[in-house]
Amino acid sequence: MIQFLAKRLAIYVPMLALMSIVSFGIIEAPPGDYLDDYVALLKASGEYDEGDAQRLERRYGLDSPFYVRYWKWVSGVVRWDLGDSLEFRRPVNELVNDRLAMTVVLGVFTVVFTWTMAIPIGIISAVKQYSFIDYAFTFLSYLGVGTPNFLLALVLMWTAFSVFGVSITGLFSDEYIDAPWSLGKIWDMFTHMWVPMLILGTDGTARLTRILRANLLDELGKPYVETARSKGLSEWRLILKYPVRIALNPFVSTAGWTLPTLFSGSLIVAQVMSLPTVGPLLLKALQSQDMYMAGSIVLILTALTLVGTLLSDIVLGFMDPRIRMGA
Amino acid sequence: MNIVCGILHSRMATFGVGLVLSLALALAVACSSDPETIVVEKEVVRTVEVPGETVVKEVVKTVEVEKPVVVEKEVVREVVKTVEVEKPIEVVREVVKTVEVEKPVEVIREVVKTVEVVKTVEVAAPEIMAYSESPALAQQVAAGLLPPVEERLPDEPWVIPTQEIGKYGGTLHRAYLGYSDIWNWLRLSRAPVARWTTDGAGAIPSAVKRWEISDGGKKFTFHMRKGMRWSDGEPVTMEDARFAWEDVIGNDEINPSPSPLVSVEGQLPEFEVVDDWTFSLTFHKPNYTFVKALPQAGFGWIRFFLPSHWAKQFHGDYADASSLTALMTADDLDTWPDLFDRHVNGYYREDVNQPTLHPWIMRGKWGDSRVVAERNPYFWAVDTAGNQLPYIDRLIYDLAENGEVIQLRAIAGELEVQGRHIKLTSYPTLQENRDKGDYSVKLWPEYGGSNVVLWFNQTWRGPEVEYFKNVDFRRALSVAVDRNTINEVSFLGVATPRNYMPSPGHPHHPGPQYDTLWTQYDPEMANQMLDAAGLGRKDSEGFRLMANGDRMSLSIIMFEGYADWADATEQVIADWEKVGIHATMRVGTRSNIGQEWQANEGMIYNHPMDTAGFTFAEAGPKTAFAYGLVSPLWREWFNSDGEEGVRPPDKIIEIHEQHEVGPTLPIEESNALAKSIYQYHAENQYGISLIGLRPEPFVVSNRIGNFPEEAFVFWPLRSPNNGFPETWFFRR
Amino acid sequence: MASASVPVERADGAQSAYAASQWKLVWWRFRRHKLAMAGLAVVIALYVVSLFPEFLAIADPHERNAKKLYLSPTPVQILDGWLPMPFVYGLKSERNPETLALEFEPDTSKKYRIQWITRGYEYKLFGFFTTDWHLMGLDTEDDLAAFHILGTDRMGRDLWSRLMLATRISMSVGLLGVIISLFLGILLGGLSGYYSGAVDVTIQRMIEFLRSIPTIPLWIALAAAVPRDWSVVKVYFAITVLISFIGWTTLAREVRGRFLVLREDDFVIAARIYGSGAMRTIFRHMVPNFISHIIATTTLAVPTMIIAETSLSFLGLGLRQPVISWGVLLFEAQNIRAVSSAPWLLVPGAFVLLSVLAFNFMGDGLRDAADPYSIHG
Repeated sequence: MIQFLAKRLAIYVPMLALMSIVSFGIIEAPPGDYLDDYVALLKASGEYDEGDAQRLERRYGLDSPFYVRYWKWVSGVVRWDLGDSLEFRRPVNELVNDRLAMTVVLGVFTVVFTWTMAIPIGIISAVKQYSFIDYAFTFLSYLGVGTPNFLLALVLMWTAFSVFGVSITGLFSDEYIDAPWSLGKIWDMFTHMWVPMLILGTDGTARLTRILRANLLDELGKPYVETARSKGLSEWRLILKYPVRIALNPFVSTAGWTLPTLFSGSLIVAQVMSLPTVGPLLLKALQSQDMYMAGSIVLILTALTLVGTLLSDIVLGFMDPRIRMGA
Repeated sequence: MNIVCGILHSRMATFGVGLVLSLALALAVACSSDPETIVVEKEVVRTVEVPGETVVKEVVKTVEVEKPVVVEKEVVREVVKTVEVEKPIEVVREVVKTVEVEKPVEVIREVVKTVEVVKTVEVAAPEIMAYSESPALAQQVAAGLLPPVEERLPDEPWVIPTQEIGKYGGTLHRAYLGYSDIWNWLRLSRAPVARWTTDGAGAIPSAVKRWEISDGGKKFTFHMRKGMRWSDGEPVTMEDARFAWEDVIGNDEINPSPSPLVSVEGQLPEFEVVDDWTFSLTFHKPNYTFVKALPQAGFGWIRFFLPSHWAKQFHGDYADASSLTALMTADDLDTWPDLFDRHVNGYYREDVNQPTLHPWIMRGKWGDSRVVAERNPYFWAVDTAGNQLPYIDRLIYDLAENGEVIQLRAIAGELEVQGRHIKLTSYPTLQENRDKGDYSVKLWPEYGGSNVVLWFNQTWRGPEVEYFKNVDFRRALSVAVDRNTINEVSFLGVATPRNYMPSPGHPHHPGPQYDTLWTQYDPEMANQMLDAAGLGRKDSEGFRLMANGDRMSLSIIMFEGYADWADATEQVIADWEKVGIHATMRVGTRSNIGQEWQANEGMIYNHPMDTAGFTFAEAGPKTAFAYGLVSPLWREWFNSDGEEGVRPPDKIIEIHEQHEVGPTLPIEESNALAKSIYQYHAENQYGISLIGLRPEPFVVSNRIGNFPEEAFVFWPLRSPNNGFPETWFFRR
Repeated sequence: MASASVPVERADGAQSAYAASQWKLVWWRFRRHKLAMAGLAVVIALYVVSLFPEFLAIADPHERNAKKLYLSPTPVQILDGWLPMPFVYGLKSERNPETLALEFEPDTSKKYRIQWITRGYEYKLFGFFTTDWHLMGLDTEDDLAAFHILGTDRMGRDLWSRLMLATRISMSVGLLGVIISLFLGILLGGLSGYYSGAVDVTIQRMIEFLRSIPTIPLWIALAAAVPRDWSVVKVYFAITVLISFIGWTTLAREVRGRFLVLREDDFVIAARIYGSGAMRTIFRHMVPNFISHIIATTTLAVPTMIIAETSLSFLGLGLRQPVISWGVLLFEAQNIRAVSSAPWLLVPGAFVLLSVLAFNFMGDGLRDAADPYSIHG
């Protein structure tokens, strides 16, 4: 176990280093830079002040070459100093912290929601294969896969407005946006979070249901199930004890990987619904080529994914002792 | 002084749209030579417009001028001294126009204009006997946290006349799109030395009592308001003005290139102290446009007063080296100008502790999901009843991640006043839901310019450039565009097809014929002109061929902004196809497209020209050449004083120089010069302008009072600041 | 699965399960899956649309009409008196002075008969043959004749015709992208599974690496790096390649898994002993062995590509106007005005849904039928 962890971590270090170059390079690759964006924006609205652009260039050394800026950034990242956002003219840390927490909370809740929905549905669909209930769930889950997230968000938002007369944007009610954390605020967040959670969850639930159903069907046909059944184990107990456990393996092993998928999905939903997560921040940073901000967020997300993969490997090891820990 | 009057007199011609009601006291100090007198001018311009589409066959015009009627009006209640009427010019004109239309037998009888100018001269500032304040502040005074209101206000506070005397209290909600949306805040809460009148016609003193212009337009003398205080309670002194002009604006370490707003030909004026409460600025050449710069300034460096008692700790000439180094280390900055930039540059509010003169003080950090601003207890203005302004206690800015969320929140009635980011295309939906959301939508017309302009790169590297240089080619492509249909399709029919220039009635407007010169829809003519331009041959698909036998294929680039740019361009491409010109379009991100154009890699650039009203200011048609809208390489040539880039034709250089000369000329001459510049642009069609004067919708809650029904939207006017946000209030 | 026996269609007479080829067996099995058959029918229909979108279009999809902005779907009158001769009415259009929106009323004084196989706007069939034949249309020049079965958009363009054109782009983005990721997936997944050891570890790490980069920034960066002077079509092609750049990883993992199993099979070992090279062994002997699985996986990957295209366009990163794709149509519909007063503009969303459903059902059926010799379907 320890050896496995050590081996994995040894791989992750160079991988993260490589990742930092890639994430910075991604921002640098397109032609133009932040100043071009800034100037273009202000000129188009007429709100342009040449001196301001010059001061900005000087203050952030935007005219220095790629490797100089990369080094400046990456040497700070090691100390958890993510540099200054050009657009916000504030440290990236300050801007990202809150939103990162929100993103993780939303992500975790969506995963929990997805699993609590997908596992029972998947089991029922497999056990009652070709029944009405199976067809109904199959149809619903494909409906979930097929509907683009943003469309669902948009329609839900408008419906909520036209029925209840409120705009369901953001994660907090008016009175809680600025308030310090309290039980009331947490409750308020839950009451707002279910809509994006639902939208994000439909997609994942559908996919997982399909996978679980297929895996479980494979397992159910295996001899050991017959054996158990012939031994007189009650049907549900039998199913839950062995086949389901094994059918869940792929779930666990890919849990880490669902993070980037979930993030890409949540980026779009957060953009539409104006949620205070890192998604919209990243999108804006990418569009305006705010390099330190975008690079940092991309790096954090990739690191989180690696950690997620690692965790799911460990959990998998506990769940299924047959799997040996090899790098 | 006479500049403002000049503007006003020439503005007696109508503004062209709707009813413009300039504020009663609009030009208070402006037109008098006696410093003790205050001139109150009121101008009512009414225009009833002829429906644009009707075919006018015959126009019978009867002009009847009635006898002058003297109208006297008392505007301010507490008039203490004598009222003397100076030059009462009352022209009441009625123009009855009978328009007969050929097809439907219908006679449109129309009373065109009634111009009524009332000029009352009234002596001395109103003496308000007692001041009152917001109950919230009164509580703080009672608790001993604040000095009484009389001590917080200057001896002679700025009196803002209001439509109604308002009520205190309330929180105004607004939505913003992110950190670079800083003008969302700066257009609402400002404190320049002068402010625009609601119609943008003239500047009135605000943070100073008044100013005088002498020495042939070179010397500007400003009289400060004695007893005015910063938001931390410190008095505003002469040192604050001196520090601002000599140590900040005039310091080339902080401010390497002086803003055109406060300089002539790149030279700053000389600052001089006259007495404790009077200072003067003297330019080396006459600078008549400086009056127009006064209400535009008041942000970033370009502030006439800076809180020197606080700002000096960041200034290399004042702070001692060790504490400066400590501050720089804390902020991870290398030089003190960067430090000063970060803390004192009010533009970006990076340091919320900076004392300010604004009506509201920002409390949170701009860019956060919610930013709150609270009333400045030391704000130095009152209404005519002596109530300290602003009426509204708090402003709340909520971050929206995209523009559609703002539309939705506006429709839900969650934003009490919002014009910025409200799209014209949302107008029908806004109108349909206005009762449900308890708001109304006001359409403020634009002051001038054009929303969509296609610029032909005059230094494009391909063979197409030979045609771009041909004025007939550009004119042909202009008349090939069906602007009326574009207006109907993408602008709800409420914008105006026109060239880029100021709105009709503006002293720089060259005349209605130039508004629409080469903007008529005439594909026949376009075909003939294109044939004559050497594009007579066509390929099998009917597209025109260049002299070298290749198909002429134009490529238009634009960055994502408003959908109507792209929509309008799509329609232009369809119209051009009808005259055999093949074109494509590409939309990209701002940084990519901006960089592409600057690198001379774009063929045709779709970029608006919406600042055309102020010909000799930094904005305006100067940008066509100086910012490289016509050619990025010409821009380089201008910027490098001819060292790099491509030398433009002599006529362009001449026009460019005229922009420098303009401000130094007396008002009549500069007006004439401006007109000639716009004429030149209209005739030459360097940029094909599609649509201008697009109105901007403002969603205003029915609970809000004192919001002007109609005013102009324009960047130099800092709209909606010309609607005096300090006087807005909640009725309930 | 319920049945372990191979279905034999005796009705087909001479055909026998023992003589039938593998493909025939797959087809027989697939045919039993009703939903999959329905999916197949829809997919075929969508590709037929992609082949002849202009023929199916009623009006020029780029032609604006200032008098028909946001026109709701117009009813087609089926019976003219007692005769089944479909026609539509004319239109009266007026701008509401209050809301500035156009308001419409049918002009029953004007009738326009719907013509079948008729002439309309000119287009190039398959990009070569200039023709002006269309499936249906009106025989009139009156631009207020209202034949818009799905209504019009903000510029008064016919949504039905735009949707037809969009189908071509969106359906081919999916297919093209999948073909590329298929190639990459089989090649790299195959190498990884065949060789194992250092090659395997490298490829596995590469996959892990690629998958842990959030896709959207990667797309933005790559999309912006596409040369500027490329035409819209080229850029569109580039974007499909970009999408598949990430898509191959899933397939590669699957292929690798298969290879790990097959590698030890007798016939592979035999091939190797006879001196067959790696590439030959992979493509000649191993791939055919699980080609049906690959097809099934591919089918299931197409809808992912379609959704990816719409999401990219939605964010303004993918295709943009004047190109018409499902994503572009949905992007144009994502504003308050459209959602509140022109819900028909969301119909392209239904097409996305329909195609995703169809591909999934078809994929399911294929997967079940893929291995006709297996006991468990």
